[in-house]
Amino acid sequence: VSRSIGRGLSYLVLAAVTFVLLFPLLYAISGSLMRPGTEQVPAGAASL
Amino acid sequence: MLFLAPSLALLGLFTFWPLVRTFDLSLYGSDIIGRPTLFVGTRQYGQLLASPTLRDTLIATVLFAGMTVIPSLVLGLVLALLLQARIAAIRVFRTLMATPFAFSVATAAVIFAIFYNPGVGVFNGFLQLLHLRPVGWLTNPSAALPSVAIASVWLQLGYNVLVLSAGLQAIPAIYEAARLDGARVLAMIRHVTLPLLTPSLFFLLVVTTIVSLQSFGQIHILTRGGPANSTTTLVYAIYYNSFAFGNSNFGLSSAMAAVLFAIVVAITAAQFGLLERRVFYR
Repeated sequence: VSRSIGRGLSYLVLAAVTFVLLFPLLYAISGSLMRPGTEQVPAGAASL
Repeated sequence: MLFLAPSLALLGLFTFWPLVRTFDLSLYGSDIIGRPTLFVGTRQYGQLLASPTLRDTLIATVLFAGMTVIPSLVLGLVLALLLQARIAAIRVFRTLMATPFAFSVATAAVIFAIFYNPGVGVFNGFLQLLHLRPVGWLTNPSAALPSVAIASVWLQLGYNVLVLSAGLQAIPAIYEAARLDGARVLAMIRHVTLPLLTPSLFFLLVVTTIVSLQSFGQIHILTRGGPANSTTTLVYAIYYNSFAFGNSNFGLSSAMAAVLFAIVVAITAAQFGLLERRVFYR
């Protein structure tokens, strides 16, 4: 049982780390699927 | 010698000749369109050393190298160690974690420029979720250099993971012997893995240091050397003096390039002199 838990934890940690590492890639892919001009820009976005 | 001739000719034409020409150009002043005109000897080196901005440029260069090399090595090692897990899909994770290596500098820099956007960027979005004040990642002089370094670390990480994973795969199976001797995980990493991994670590230290000292694309796309010159490294200063706003000061830029070459050679020699004796070659 402890080996299964260890294996499950390994999968969980690796999946989380891979997601964080590949987040820029996933963000770029999801951004490329968006239609231009449909984003919701928060109020005061350009104020900083 | 005959068989070496094509390689020597190509190396000579595209590597050694530009190097010689750079040193040559550094001894000449340039006219308004950048043609070498008057022989000035080492005067441009003197002008460079007397320049008050050179110190800031050198500090930014060294800080940027430190902020890039150390995190990319440490994170690369952690990820490579994680990838030693004995699970079925480990090859998939290995491939995925090496993916940032396939990114071009320009693509990564554009993605990080969107992340750092003060209004709609992801990083400020996270800060907003935590009810923290937004940060001007690329507009605040004290945050800009670390922000560019984060993008560089991400770019470098895939290669480091690849090399360190290969290094870990090549370590002979002496873990079993260590385990039988009663060594725990951390002790095995410290006394078995790290010493046997030193050739890969040393190789990456030298290579990532040189790559970070020569970084240009991410600085140009993210900050253009600003704000307040906080991200102007030596390479960016070379570009700025040669090509930005029609500066065309190729003589001074060549002198800067010669200084950068000397710095890279000195740092690499110091790394070999100080650290190579601690590398455990099997």
